[in-house]
Amino acid sequence: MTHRRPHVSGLAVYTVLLFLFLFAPIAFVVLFSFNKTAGLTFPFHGFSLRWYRAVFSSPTYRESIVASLRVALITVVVVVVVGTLAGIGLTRHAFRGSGAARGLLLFPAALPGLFVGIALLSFFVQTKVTLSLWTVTAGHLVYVLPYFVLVVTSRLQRFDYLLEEAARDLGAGPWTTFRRVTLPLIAPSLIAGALVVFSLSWDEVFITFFTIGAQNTLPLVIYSTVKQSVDPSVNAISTLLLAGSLVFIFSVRRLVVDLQQ
Amino acid sequence: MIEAPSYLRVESATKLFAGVAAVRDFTLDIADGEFVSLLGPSGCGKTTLLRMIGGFEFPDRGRILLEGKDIPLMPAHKRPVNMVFQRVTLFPHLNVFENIAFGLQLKRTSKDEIRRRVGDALDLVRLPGFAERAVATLSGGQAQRVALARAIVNRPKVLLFDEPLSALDLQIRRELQVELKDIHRELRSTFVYVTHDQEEAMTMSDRIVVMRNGVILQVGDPIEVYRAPASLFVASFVGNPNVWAGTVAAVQNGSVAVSVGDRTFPAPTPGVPLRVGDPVALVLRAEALSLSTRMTAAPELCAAEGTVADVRFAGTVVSYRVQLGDRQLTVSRPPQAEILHEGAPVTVTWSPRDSILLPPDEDERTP
Repeated sequence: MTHRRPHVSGLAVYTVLLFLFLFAPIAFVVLFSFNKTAGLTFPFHGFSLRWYRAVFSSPTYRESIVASLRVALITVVVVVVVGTLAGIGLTRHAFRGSGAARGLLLFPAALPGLFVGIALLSFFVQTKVTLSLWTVTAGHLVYVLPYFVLVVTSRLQRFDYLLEEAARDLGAGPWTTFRRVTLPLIAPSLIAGALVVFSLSWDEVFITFFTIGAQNTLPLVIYSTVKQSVDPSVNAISTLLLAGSLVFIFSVRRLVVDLQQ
Repeated sequence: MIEAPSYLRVESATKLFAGVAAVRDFTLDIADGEFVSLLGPSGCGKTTLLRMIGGFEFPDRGRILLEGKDIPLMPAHKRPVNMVFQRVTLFPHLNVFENIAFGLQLKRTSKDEIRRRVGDALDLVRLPGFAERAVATLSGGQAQRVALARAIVNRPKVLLFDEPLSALDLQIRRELQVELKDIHRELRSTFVYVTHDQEEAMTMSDRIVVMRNGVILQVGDPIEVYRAPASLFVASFVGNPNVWAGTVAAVQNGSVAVSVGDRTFPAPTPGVPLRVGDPVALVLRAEALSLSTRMTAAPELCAAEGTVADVRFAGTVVSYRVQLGDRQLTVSRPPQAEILHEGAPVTVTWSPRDSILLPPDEDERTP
């Protein structure tokens, strides 16, 4: 079938180009994070770890990583508790206005981040709340809660409530039933939801930009660093973020798979 | 009159769902160690009644007494009763042992005793060696055995069954029916069993409660319910009999003549008084009828001539549909008997005492 050959090689070229488009920028950043000199363009002058040293010795980066972690972790904890309760309430009982409650809970996900950021800023200014990492955390809560509620309700809708009746029948009160039957069974989706929430909060820029006080989060530090100067340490920190999220995603995936078995 | 308090008593219980009574003014006494089946079509209230005994629903009116103590509002987790559900409700994140031990662990039973009692329960349901198995690896029948073990291990005062075998294959269902009866004999505890399968109720129960529309139609042992059904509905639900509509032609002491079309048959008098001209239903069970190729019948038997319209060989029985003028009768015979063929002229005979005369079903039209 000789006439098909050009067709196939055209497809191959297209595929290679597509993958280049997807991954070349990433490879570029990783490569230049190890560059010996400060240049951000070719030629590449040889390997060194100087930009990684620069990142680890910089108090600005260290503090911003701690700030981002703090915001993300507090957001995760609050959202897991609030979102799980909301999910149970939405899926278990059809109460008056439960449809409206569900819609309102999910609505902020449809809002542009820019809008949420401006709205929160004017709210904090009017209520005279000092901007800080706490206002950033509050902003992230508004933004990420719908995503978590979506993940957890889709699991709870498939939950077999007869299992809870069976537990009650065997002598488990409401709390024991939740702790020993419901929670272990929905735990994988809670972890998956927490992962989504963490990554959303971790590199959030818009809402953070409007609600931030004196202390900066990591994405804002990177942003201002890039804007101010050509600093290859940005490549290093970006590579570290990439490595971190890959490790994070794969270990959580393993955990979720293990829990489901 | 002073009566000993019954073991489990449901007294004038009524349960409404959105204003409609699922169970209506229901009273039933169950003795210690009895195997009672609640039998009826879906929507008859049998499951609601069971769930009220289990503490999953609460009666709007009436009482539920266990060993003389009133427990209508006690929630399920505090009741000394356990349930085997229709669907598999084993906890998927726990293995077989952990599932069965669930109730005992909540009662803080010692580890040694838990191990011993779970082992005993697994032996009882014929699954020794299954303790470490994951729930997902069990077949449907095995899963329901584990569910039974999980209930039994708590030594409940009453064991409740909500159609636990209905999702299983016929053969496994039969096997488990036999085993369940054996287990009941062994434990001598009280079983309340909900089913819509009359054969299941017949083969296992000491007593059958036939229900419809939230009320009891008849309570009795299986033989009683079969031989002396209280209504046409009960007669039709238990077995699948022939029913002929007729009218009372004559009433003598001890016997009634019923005319069906242009024929008249003697039948035993029912419990209710009848007058000439009353509409009645003549119930003829397929297994109470005989088929003969001779055109003569003994004078004490009822006889009707017709032709074989259809033959169904089912292995354990051969089912004949016989056309008699504009009426039909289904007759079953053992497979060892000569097989008759379509179109064969036959005489259907039966003893008048095997026929059942009942008032026509007026409730049929009421919801």
